[in-house]
Amino acid sequence: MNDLDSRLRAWNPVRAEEVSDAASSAAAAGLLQLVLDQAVTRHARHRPASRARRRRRLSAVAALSAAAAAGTALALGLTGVLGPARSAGTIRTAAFTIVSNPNGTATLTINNAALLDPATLQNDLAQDRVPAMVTVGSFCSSDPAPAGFSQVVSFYPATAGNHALPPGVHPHPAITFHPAAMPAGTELSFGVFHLNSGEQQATFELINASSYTCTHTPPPAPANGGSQVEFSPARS
Amino acid sequence: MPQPDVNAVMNQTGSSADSRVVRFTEIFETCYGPVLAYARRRVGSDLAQDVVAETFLAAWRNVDELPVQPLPWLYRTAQYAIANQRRAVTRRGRLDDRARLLADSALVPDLSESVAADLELAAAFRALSEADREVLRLAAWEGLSPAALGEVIGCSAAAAKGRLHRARKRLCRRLGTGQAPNSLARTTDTTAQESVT
Repeated sequence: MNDLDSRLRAWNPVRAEEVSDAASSAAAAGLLQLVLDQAVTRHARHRPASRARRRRRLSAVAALSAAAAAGTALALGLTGVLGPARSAGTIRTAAFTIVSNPNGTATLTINNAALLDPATLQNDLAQDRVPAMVTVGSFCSSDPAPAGFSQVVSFYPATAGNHALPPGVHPHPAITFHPAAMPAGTELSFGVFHLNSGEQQATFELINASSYTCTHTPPPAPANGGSQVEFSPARS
Repeated sequence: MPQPDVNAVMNQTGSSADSRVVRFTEIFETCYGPVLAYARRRVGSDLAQDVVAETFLAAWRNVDELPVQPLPWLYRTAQYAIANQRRAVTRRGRLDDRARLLADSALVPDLSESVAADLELAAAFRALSEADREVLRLAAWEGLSPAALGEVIGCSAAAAKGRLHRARKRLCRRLGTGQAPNSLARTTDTTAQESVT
């Protein structure tokens, strides 16, 4: 390699390693979901672009750009600068993102569990018809727990059963809720604890809305058919 | 990565669309980083997300026609997206900092330490034509092979190699060096996918 090559490569303002994890960011996940929500237009490039179609295309790009920009803001840690934003069925805050899926499910991605405001998350889940009791420092459960948890909640990354996460800490797990599968009279209990290790632990269970008890002790393991996940303390 | 509800999309659009969703998702996961880097190298972080969004939207709408190695296609589409951004900004006549960045045909990065340390190279690079600058950027920064380079700039591999050689020669001349200008063409003889991972 001669000197000119070295100089040109050293001049590269964005190294490949700087973006090697970009595809795993919340911004990328949101963009992928939003793009997949767009209809495929076959042979679009072979047809002359009418003014109306051009407007539609630009509108779609504007929506995608807004979503991507929101993701970028999260990556930059602009907590508090941006309030909750909703576009194209998506709620974004610095702490989490909720995407409304076309089949009536809602996918929650935790961006930064340290910033999680339980009331905000509970309200936003309710907007997606997911009745939830979100608590920090406590966890509520029913005994016996209502059946059907595995039909209501699924995770990514997932184990074979798709209703529990593999062991270990998951930086930004995605959790999909199926509100239509929730038995009548039930809610989803979502309890977050700050562990001594610095991680956050969240436990999910179905509860009877009219009969449950709460504890301020982190549950040792998923009980009664629920699931448990550990988050990294802050978005990397 | 956090997974969108691909199953929901697949169920909604029918089984004939399943392979499209799977293929596009694979492409997105593989190419998002390189396309983001490509855009950031040319328009900076602020506008790069717009370019990436427009690029992958175009890719999704043409998913049936994407080549096996889609990265050169995506780079070329990103070029169009950048051009669209320039036109839109020019039309609006917004001469704020972002507009000036886009209107500057040189689009020479000026934030990294290496740039500040190599002002001579910056001056020589800026004096080249945009076509020369882009072919040098694609080879040195995106690490494209001559074949991939040709796909991006719309010519054969041999023609791309020639254009790269001539661009390097002109850059050497601007720099006042007499070194042989064929090293990049020789050393970037790898696939586009390999070079960015």
